Amino acid sequence: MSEEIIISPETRRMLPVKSIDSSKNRLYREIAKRPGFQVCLLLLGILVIVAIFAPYISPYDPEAISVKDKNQGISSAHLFGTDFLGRDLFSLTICGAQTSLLIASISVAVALVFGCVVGCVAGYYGGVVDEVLSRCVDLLLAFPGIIFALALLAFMGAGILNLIIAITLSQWAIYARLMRGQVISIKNLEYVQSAYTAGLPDRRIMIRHLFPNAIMPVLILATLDIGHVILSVAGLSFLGLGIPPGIPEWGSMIGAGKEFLRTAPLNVIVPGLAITFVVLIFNFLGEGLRDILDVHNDQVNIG
Amino acid sequence: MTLLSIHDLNVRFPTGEGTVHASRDVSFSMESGEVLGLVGETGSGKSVIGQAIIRLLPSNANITGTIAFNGQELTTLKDDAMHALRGRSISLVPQNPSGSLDPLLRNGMQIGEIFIERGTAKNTAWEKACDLLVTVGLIPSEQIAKEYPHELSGGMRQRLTTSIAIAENSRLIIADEPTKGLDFHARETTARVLSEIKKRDNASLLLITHDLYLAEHLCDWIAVLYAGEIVEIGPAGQIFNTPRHPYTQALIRAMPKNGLVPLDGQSPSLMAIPEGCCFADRCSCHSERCSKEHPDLIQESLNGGVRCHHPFSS
Repeated sequence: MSEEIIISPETRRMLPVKSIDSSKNRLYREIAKRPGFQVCLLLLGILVIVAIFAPYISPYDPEAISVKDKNQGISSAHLFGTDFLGRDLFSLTICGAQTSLLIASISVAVALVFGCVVGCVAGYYGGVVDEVLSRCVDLLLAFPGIIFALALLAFMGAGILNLIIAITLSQWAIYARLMRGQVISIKNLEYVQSAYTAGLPDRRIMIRHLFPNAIMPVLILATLDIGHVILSVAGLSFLGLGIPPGIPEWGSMIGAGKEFLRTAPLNVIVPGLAITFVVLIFNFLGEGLRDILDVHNDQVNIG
Repeated sequence: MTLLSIHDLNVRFPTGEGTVHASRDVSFSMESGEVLGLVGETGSGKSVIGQAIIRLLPSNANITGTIAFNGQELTTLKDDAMHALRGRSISLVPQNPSGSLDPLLRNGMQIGEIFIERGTAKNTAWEKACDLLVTVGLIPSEQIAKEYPHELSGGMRQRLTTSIAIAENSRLIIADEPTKGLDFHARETTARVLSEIKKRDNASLLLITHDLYLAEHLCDWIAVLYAGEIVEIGPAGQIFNTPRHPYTQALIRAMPKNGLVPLDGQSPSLMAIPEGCCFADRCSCHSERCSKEHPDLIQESLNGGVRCHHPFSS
């Protein structure tokens, strides 16, 4: 190709030369303007690191029962006290973070991917494909999510894998619906039409053009949803349908500790605060992301 | 060799208030390496013809007539086979370059993805894309390739979409209003880029425009459209020097260099096309016959024809 340069030197002199100025750091600038968002990011980072390295960080074995130390208050030996079996509540809480985050992120990720694929296909092809997929989505959305997950778990039995399956199945439809709407709104835009005119196949148009341009609101929804899913996991475990005994989890800690609410409130307060804290972080992050990525105040003059 | 031959192309859009007859009995043919300009005012059905060729009209469009490309009938071609032609044999330079570039793809990838899709390795595709950027004069190409469309000016985006259309050496390039929204300087460079590309690839160019300046500089043949039909067709020099249809004359008089004389009135609605000559209401030399009898496109010689009862003699 290079020997085929056809623009004559005189034409080239007429062409404007690209000025070297770009504003690529808009995202960083937006984040820099929001100290609250930075704090949330920092807290999330700490949370994730703590969750990943929970077994190494926890000062005690979270499973180690020591009945003589049961229901102790806050002390230097036990930062958050001990539970009704004498287990260290700090260790239990940070190991519970691992369980909660793992389940929530896996189920949201699977639901996100599945929902996006379904929504993208339904929105792009339209017609019968859209009708069939959208009616499935409507059917699922007609149930309140937690009740649907509850029914599935009652049917399949408790267990980590079943919990992930139940939550994924009850969550994917919201992503599918949002993605479908996004895809419909952009599929008739000129750049998608141009890609089609250039002879690109549907697969490439969906993956390279529709997906990246439609995904932002769905990602924001997912961030907000992680908090919601953590709550659902805790709720289901509280009811004894989620995590089997023996694995530290905030919901089951509250469920077991509620008997001792009067004599040893820390049994409930510590995991309860942990849930509140994590859900709040994710909600703030989701809202911050929404503000930062909001297309309506976008300065970029495309289209 | 005849590359594109369109015969009696009619495009109708059924709407709630009636049928819009966007293109009526359009016939023309193009040889390889030729540039044919479709000129006419807004709403004269220019873009519809381009979109009918590459089959991008909405599904409710009712298309009759034949479009033969390289001996292949396009109107009845299967969707898969038609899609295989798009970008490879027939490509389109879209009307609005700013909206036609994916805002999230780097400029290099806007071109490169076409090569990747045809099985080229990513690195090679990127290099080919940079070469193409040089071809259309987007320099420094390495740097521009790494940037995003919003970092380019309107004229540069226009050249970028042009480079996408020529990526695969198409036989036929349809340029739909390539100078829309560009200033004089950018129009001039666009004209140069298009003509130099034409020379390089020996491609045929179907130029859809209401920019007569561009048409005069670029076209071998001109077809003047009015209210969906061709009112005059002929070699560019003949159209500009000795126009025979009153409408063509009015268009040429309205060019800035010819005194910017405006034409009164409006073209008829494509939903209620008059029985007689469409231009009769605005024509300075119409007779009674004009408002009753629809004129045919009279082909006097190989050099085109005119659709008028009282054509100016050349």
